[in-house]
Amino acid sequence: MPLHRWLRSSAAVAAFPFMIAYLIFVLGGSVEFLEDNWLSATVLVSSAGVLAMGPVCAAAGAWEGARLARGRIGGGVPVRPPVLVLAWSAWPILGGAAAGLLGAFLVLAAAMADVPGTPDPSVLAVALLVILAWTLVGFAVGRYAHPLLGVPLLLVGTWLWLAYPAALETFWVRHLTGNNLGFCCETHTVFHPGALYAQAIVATALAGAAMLAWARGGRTRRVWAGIAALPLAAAAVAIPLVRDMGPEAQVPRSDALVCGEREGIEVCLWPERGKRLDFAARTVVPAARRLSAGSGLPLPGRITEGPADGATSWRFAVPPGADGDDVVFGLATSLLPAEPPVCGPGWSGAEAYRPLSAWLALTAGAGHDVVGRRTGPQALDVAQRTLARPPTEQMRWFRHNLVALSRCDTAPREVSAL
Amino acid sequence: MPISFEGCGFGYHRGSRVFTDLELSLPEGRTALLGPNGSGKSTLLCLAASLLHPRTGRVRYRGLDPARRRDRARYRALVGWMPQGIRPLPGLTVREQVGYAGWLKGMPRRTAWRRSLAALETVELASLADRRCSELSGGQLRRVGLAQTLVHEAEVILLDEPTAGLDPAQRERFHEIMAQVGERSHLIVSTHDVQDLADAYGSVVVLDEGRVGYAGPVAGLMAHGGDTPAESIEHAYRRLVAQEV
Repeated sequence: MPLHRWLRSSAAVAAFPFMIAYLIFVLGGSVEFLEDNWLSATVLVSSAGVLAMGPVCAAAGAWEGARLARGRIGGGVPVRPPVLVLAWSAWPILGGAAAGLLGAFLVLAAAMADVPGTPDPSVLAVALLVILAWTLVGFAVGRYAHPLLGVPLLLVGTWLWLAYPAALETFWVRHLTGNNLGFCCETHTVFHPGALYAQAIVATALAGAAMLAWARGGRTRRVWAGIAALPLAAAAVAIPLVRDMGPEAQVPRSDALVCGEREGIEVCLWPERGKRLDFAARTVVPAARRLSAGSGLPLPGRITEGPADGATSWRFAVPPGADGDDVVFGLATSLLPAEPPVCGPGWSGAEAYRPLSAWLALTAGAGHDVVGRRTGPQALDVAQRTLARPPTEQMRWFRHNLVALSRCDTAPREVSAL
Repeated sequence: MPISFEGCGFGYHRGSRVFTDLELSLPEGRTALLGPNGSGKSTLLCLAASLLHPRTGRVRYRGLDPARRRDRARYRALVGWMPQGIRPLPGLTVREQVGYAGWLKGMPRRTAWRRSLAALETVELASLADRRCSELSGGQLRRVGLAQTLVHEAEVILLDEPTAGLDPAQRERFHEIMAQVGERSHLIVSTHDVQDLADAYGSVVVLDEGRVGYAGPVAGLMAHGGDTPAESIEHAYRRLVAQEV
C-alpha cells in the first residue's frame, strides 16, 4: 500500500505534534547550557530528544501494538516475520523521532554556526537506540494491554524512568536511563564512554525483551523467563560501568593537541581550533609574560587548552568568535582556583574573586571595557587602584588574596571599593 | 495437489486430544467440512492454515510441512485463511485492509495495493474500497475477509463457517462469490449449512469428535437416502454423527 496511506492511520501522525512541542519546550529550557563545542550540542539535542520523544514514542508504540493485536495480525498466518510486521508499524514513529532530532539540530545550528566540528554520532546513536527500545516496549505492552491502560502507562512510566533518576542522590541510576547525558561537556571534557556503553546495553536489552514479548510472548514460561532475564542481565553488566560515577558522566579529553612554539613557550589548542594557533600564540605569549612579571609567578613552559598544572603549564581557551581580550581574560583568570574551598558559613574569601580577576586581566593586557563588563565596576575600581601601587605591593596583595581564595582561615584584604 | 494430514495428533491442553492419528486427504476443488460443534472442524482448518501445528504427525501440501520453520513461509504463501471473526486493523479503509493483508502474505507493497482492488471486485466490494472497515455490516466484513484470502492469489483457501450469522440474502450472495472463487482455488469450508451442499461442493468431510466419519464425494453421502439431495445429506450427516433424525 502507498506510504501515505499507511501513514494516515498511524499513531505517529497524532503523536508527532506532541513530540515536537515538548521537544521545543525541553530544548528551550536547556539551550543556555550550550557550550562552545559540538559534543555539547549533540548531548543537548539527544538529551532533550530522549526526554521529550521517548515517552511519546513509547505511548504511540503501545497504541500501535494494541492496534495490531486487535487486528489479529498473527491470526492471518502472515508470511512476513513478526519483526518485520512490527518494524513496518514502528517506522512512522521512529521516523518522527529522527525528524525531531534533526529539527532540533537545525534549531541549534544557528548558535553553532562558527563552531568547528561535527555532531558526535555515538551519542546520537545511543539516543535513537533508547527511543527505539521504549517504542518497542510500547508495542510489547500494547499487544497485551488495552490502549486505555497501555498508552498512559507507557507515557507516564517512561517519562518517570527518564526524568526522575536525576533527582536521586544515587547517581548511577541516571547514567543508565539515556537522559542523564545532561549538560556534558565543556571543550576539555568528553562523555564518559562507560555511561554510553551502559545506556546502550540497557536499551538493547529492553529492545530485545520487547521483541521477544512481541514475537513469542505468551507461549511458554521459558520465553517469559527470557524476557525477564534480559533486563536483569543488562543491569548486571551495566551497573558496574557507572556505579562509581559522580553526577556528571564526563572525563578529561585525551585527544592530541595541536601545538606551536613562540618565544620559547609552547602553545597548544584542540585540533578543531588549530587554525587559530598563530593568533592564539601572538595573543597569549605576551600576556603570559606580563602576568608573570606582574604577579611574580614563574613563566610557564606551556600554555594549553588541555590539562594544565598551573605552574609549568597554564590553561587558556580560544572559543569560536573570541577576540584577543576574551582570550587574555581567560588566560588570566585560569590562574585562580577553579572551585572554592569547603568552608563553613562566614567564609569571606569569595569576595576576592572578582577583584583578583580584574587585576590579573588588566595586568595581562586585557582592555578596561572587557574587564569592567566581566567583573563589574567595583572590582575594576579595586583593580585599578591596586595597579597604581608599587609592583612589590601589588604582588603582596595578589598573593595574600590568592591564599584567601583557597583557604578557610585567611580573610581577603583590600578587595572592597572605596 | 491435496492437503494431507498424516497421522496428526493434536490437543489444546496436556492430556486433551482433539485428533489422534488423523489420516485425511483433502482433494482439489471445493470441500465442505461438516460436523457438530466441537467436532474439530475449526481445529482442522487451523492446522491446515498453519496457525496451529500437530503434536504428532504432519500436515503436507506440495511437499511442504508448515511445522518446519524453513517451509512455513512458502506454505503460508500458498494458503489463504479466513477465521470466523474478521477483525480489521482499526483505522484502515477496506482497500487498505486488503492491501495490508497482501503485504503480510509476502507481496510487494505496490503489487498488494494493485491486486487489492481486483480482490475487492471479486467479492463485489470495490464500491466501498475507501470506506472504513468499522463502518461495514457483518456480511460485508466477511467479504473483506474473503478478499484478504484472495489478494495474494492463494492456491488453497480455508474458510471457517463463513456464512454463520448472515441473513439469507447475504448468505446467498456469499455462496455465489465462493462458487466463483472455488473455480480457480482449492476451497475448504467448514459449515453447518447442508442445504446447498450438493451444488456448492465437490467433496465433503464429516467430522465427529475428532474422527473422520466420512470423506469423499458429496454424491457418496447422498446415497444414504432422502427424497431430495438436501434431505439425503442431512439424513446421512445425522446418522454419521449419531444425532436423532
